[in-house]
Amino acid sequence: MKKKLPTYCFQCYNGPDLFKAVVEDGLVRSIEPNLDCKDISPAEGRVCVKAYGLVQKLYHPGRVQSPLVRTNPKKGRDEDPGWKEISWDEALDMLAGKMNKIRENGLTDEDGMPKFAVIMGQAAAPTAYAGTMPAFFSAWGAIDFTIGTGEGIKCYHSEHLFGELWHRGFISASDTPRTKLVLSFGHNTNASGGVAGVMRHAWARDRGCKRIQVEPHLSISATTSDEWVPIRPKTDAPFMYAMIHAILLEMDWREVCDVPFIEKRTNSPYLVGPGGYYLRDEKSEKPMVWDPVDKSAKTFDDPTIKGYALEGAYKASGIEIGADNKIERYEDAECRPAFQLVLDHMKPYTPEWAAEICDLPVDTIRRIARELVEAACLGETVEISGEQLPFRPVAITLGKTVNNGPGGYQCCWARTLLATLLGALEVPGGTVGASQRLNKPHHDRWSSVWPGKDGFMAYPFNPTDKENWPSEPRSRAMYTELIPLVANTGWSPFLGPVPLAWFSMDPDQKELPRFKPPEVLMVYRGNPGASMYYTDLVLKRLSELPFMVSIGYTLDETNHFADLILPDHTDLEGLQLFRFGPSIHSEAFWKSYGFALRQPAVEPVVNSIDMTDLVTGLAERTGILDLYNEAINAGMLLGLRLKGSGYDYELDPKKSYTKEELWDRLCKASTMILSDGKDEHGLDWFKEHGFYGVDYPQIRYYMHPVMVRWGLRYEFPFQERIRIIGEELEMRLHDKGIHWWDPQLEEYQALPECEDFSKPWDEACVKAGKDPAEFNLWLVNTRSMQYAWGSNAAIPAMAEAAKHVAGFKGALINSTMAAERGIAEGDKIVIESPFGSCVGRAVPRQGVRPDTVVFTGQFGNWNTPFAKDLGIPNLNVLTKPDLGLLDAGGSTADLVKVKIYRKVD
Amino acid sequence: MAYSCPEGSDRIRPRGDRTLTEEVAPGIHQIDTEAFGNPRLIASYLIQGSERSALIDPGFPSSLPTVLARLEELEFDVRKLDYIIATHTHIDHAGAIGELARLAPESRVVVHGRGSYYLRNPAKIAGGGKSVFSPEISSRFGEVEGVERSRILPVSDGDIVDLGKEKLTVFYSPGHSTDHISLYEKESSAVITGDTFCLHYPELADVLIPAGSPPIYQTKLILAELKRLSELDIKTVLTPHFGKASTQDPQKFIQQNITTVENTRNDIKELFSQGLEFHQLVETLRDRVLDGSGKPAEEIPPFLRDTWLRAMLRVGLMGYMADILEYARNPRPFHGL
Repeated sequence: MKKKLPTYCFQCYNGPDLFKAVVEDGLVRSIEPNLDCKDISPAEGRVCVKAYGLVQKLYHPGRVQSPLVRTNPKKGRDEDPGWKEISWDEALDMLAGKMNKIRENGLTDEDGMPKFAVIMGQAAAPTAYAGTMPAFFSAWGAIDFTIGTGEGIKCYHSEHLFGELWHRGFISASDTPRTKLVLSFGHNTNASGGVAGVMRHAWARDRGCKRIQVEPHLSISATTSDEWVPIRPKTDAPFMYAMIHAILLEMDWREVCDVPFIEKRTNSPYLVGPGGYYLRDEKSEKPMVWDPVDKSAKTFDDPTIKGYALEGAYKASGIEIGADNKIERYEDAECRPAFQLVLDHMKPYTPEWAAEICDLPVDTIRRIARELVEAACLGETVEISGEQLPFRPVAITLGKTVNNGPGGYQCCWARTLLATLLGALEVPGGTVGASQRLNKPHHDRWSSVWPGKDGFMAYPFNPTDKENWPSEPRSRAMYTELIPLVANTGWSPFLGPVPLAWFSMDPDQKELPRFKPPEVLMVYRGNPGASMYYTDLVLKRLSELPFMVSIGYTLDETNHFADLILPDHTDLEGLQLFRFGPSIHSEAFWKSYGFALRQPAVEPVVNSIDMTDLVTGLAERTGILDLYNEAINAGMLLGLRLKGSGYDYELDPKKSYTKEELWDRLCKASTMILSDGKDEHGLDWFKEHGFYGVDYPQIRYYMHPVMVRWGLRYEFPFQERIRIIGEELEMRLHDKGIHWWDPQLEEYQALPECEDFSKPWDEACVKAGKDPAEFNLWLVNTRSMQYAWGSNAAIPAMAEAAKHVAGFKGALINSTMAAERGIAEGDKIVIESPFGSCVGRAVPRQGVRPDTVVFTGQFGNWNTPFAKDLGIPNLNVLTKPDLGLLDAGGSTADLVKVKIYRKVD
Repeated sequence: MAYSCPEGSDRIRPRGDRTLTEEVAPGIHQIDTEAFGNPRLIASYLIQGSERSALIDPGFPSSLPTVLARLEELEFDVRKLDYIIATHTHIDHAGAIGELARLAPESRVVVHGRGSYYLRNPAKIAGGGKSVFSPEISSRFGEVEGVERSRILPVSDGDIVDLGKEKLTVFYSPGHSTDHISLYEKESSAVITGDTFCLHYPELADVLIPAGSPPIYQTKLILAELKRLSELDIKTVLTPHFGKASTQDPQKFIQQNITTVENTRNDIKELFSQGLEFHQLVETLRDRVLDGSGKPAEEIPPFLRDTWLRAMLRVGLMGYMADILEYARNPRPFHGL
């Protein structure tokens, strides 16, 4: 008998994609979109290719068939682990034994480092599969989450941190359904935006929206754009700075910019004193502005203000408060509005200056700047949820490597400045934040807005003052100590300077503090052995771990070094409730938000386990069942408290519950909460209907209304706080004798200076004793929709879909350049960096700059079934640890200087 | 119009400089904690039952020396205190509890189950205070001390704190904060309201000001809580901000509280629609309170007039904003603005 079971796919951050598994004779035959969600889903119920691959994922012959224990104590890439199958009881007892030893002797070691560490890959997408694991982590206590596998470094890192500070834009996006012009710097929507990204942009283009794609190669997004601008790698910041120069200094900015927005919603009018900090009223310590009507300085919120000066210099008295609250008093000192400083700051960044760095025609920069201002629709409004909001249909989006690594701050700053100049930030049609992760709550951006200091939103910086700076690190990546912007909330550990965690466990390195590896490392849905930079170093560290447990799907490059592999259920076997909407990633804006169920479509195919059963079993064996149950009661899962107004599904802390009992209670709590107590739907209801949601008012996708009501300004463009925390951090670190973080401290500028940010990569060559002129090509990486985040390297269906994407089969190079070197399609070529080399097939195309080589995805597999035979190269093996390539957030870019040549066998 | 004096209130109350303790019901003393040296802002209550004693809401940490001095004047040995009760864990109520618990080693600290975490983590209480009060005020908080887990007695709705003949019934009232409780003592028919009731400062002629509070101030719940309390036989209403309600008719006083909470919400929405922003609203509301008091500005103590009132209105408005804008820490339905 045929049946269709509603469930979800969250193999990437565009999800969940709600779909139906078609089951016949106890087998999953196919996947169908769940069109029951057509009216609320951003892709109208359509499903991404990754979901279609789930059938193969379920029945993959390479799956780990049962718990495996290592019998060969020697760990190495060339060592056979000697896997031996064991029972689940044996496996859980073994793991619990290791963990109980930790509990007996203290959760942290003598350096204060947690003895238990967890790696979760795929940008935290695994929480959609981890069952009740978050409650177990909460019950356990100190855990080090900072030994990462890609998140926190191979992500939109500077955008995450600065976007969150400036406009709660952990991910920033175009308001695609309303925008008229999208200027994308390497934001590869067609690959990274899921089905919704492809569809929403297609609809937008259909109604006349123009998209300009600026990037070194013709990505799959560029192929559907109106224009491809082939910029030199890592020079996006100069391009944007030059556009700002053109708008502010070559056009009449009072005519083409949204002046009321600049005056009232930004810190542009704040006076800056001689010391480069805000001039403040001495009594209230509030920043001051210049009122040109009354010809006097007033606090920014003075109700008598009749106008704001944006240009000029004025004599005013007050104080500046610098680092460590150092106060300078001024009488009739010359002060300038922050906007005047921006005007001064942008003078050197002419289009001619940028054109040379970017290797582009100067007219292109000026023309695009003009197009931006012409499309901004100054003065227009649009009705959203019954309220008139400004309509500014121009958006600028950034991709990875543009918005992280050296120059990432400048790109994010320049992008946001362009948006604010045009009043196109957080309004319909403009650049909007898709989600926030460092400020709670995650399900509603408005609710994270509170008035903070100086008229800006409150932000939970990690302290840098003498009294409160956390001088003793509590994680191997030292994020609370080094990264004030990353805060210290649930997501913060995943966004710290991940490379430092790997470096600091190297017993031979002398530059950084040295920490012991964790006594137990758990890896879940991550494969740092392939997906993290410095692959050799990572594999070495993995081989030195005292005990590693991997929640494994197939054998892979990481669990080759594990002591224990525990296979968990795949998407079509496990049980879990998860949230959908309102927005998570760049195009995933739902009209509703709520919860969806992932349910077993068939009996487990192998001797795997549901994560909730695994975790509950572990909680019992480690004696923390009561804390685990209490964490669930308290809302640790999905923010759903099990007891509230009109309902009570609380767990007895002492009792062990089945996964069905647990999720049934959470299903009921979720529906009671969202329905104001009207609907109580349990697990059986969700199994039949799949999801339950309520309307999400569309006005809440824009921050503008809430900012206006609070009377808040975006902390932009002048970055006084960034400068101050940088100065304080420098003092704290230097007091402790730490100088190795000095290059990163240079980033903390109130108005960031721009340069050619490709230079650090040449410097890395020189440091390695190599000539940059020899390694004169740029290797960049591009995303693959089929593979991103999904642990799908082993799935043949993905390879079949991906083969239609140029470059997937090997290294994409410019066809003219290839011809000059005698390289033909399919030739084996060596891609060599100063730090390593790899081999791939040449894919010559016109759509790539002659100085650029492009890899797709992250492969280089040597142990993952199927993937190991694809022969696709991996950028990570060509990199080497280099603090000079890390930005102030600890992130770096997917970029290496290489040379290529034909491989002669 | 939201801000007005409650009907029947004594506009002129004793203004003696040191009316710092007062027996407000049999066995119940009101203690002026003199926040930052200012009288009649925050009240604490000592209940000396027939068998056991309880001190409720000792105030800011920096107020503790004052509270201890008043207890000494009452010849009450703090070391023999049985219960310290937090109506909720905001710093102006519970900030001094950690240190007080240390000085009263036999005491148990009573708090709603949701407040236990905060009492154990003093940085959270201090951080919460700093996030809403200005540096001028938060620099005068004093140091918050934590409470050991074993000393904490978590309570929930309907629980009774037994003082002997006197019994305090717990009313869970999360409208002001999720860990908020009010207490009712049947013997004296007194209700110890916590911040469910409005602020009313004698120097402002007891003008009622809703005790809004971020992050989650829920007027719907507050109204339900006030109605629930109105069903009790109440002779005395004891509020923290400030003191025993000077009314002859507690039921009418409760009704006036209900009206004020409702009207204030409507007023704020109306002011929003006129385009006023947050800081403008604070000033507008302040003007209305000062007008409502009927007092010349110079007759109002400057700290109350210029600093404290502004701070409390700011905090209150933050709570109302969160309510009107449908803020939520956890999933909830959104109904539109």
